[in-house]
Amino acid sequence: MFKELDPLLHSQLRLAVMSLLLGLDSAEFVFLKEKTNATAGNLSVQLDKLSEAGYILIEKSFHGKKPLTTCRITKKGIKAFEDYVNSLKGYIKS
Amino acid sequence: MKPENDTLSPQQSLDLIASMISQAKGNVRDSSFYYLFWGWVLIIAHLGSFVLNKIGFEYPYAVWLIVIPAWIVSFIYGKRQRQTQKRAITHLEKINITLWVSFGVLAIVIPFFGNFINYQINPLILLVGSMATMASGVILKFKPLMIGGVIFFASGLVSFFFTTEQQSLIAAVTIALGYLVPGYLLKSQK
Repeated sequence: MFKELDPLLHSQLRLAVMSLLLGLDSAEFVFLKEKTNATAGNLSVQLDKLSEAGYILIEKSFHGKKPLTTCRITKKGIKAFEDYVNSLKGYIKS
Repeated sequence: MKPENDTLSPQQSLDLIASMISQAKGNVRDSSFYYLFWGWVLIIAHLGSFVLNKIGFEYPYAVWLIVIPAWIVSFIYGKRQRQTQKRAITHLEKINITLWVSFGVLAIVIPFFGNFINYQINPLILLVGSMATMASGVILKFKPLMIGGVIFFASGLVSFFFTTEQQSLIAAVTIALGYLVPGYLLKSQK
């Protein structure tokens, strides 16, 4: 029996973001954009999805006049990520 | 990155995870500035305090006031770095920063309680500094700093046997060997 893969994580950009955040305390939007090569619009949409699911926390603030978006992974996000990787293992072994 | 609807095979997923994790890992900031800057500030303060003691100045500890502008410089430098450099903080970086800020706070507070500990301020701060230096060495995986931690520990213990005036000299030498030298080595590595 294969465990179903979390559809929220089984998408290239969202998985990339979650993998990045897993190793970091926090990361700014620009950093995530640079590392994933995503467009700002697409990234923004995907971040909102992850945030709505409670997988990440998005903080919006200002740095001088520039808006600053900082993301960090939540405990729920870490758990979901671990579950996702465990399910993946099932697929790889078979 | 391709559009999100692309289906990922399990192997692709794992490869993506691995590549992103290594991207996040390779982000250790060059922190040698702090080691060099604080190394020199503290050496100057210790030597200054030794010299002022020698010439019989009434308040030799006044030289320690230089740490106030030093904190400000450090703070501004850190802020600028965050603005210009890559904008992500790793857990280890955060631990390292917390470690040194805690040490800094402790080093400011302890002297005010000097009368409770027979004014053995220098040995105590060197010993606490040994923990911070050693831990930083482990965090950065940088052996010279770990050796620096051992030097701090040894001279912290040794300085209990000396007068406050001599302790300043010992501390200056310790900082030079255990902190400044690793700082320069760290810088040359980048």
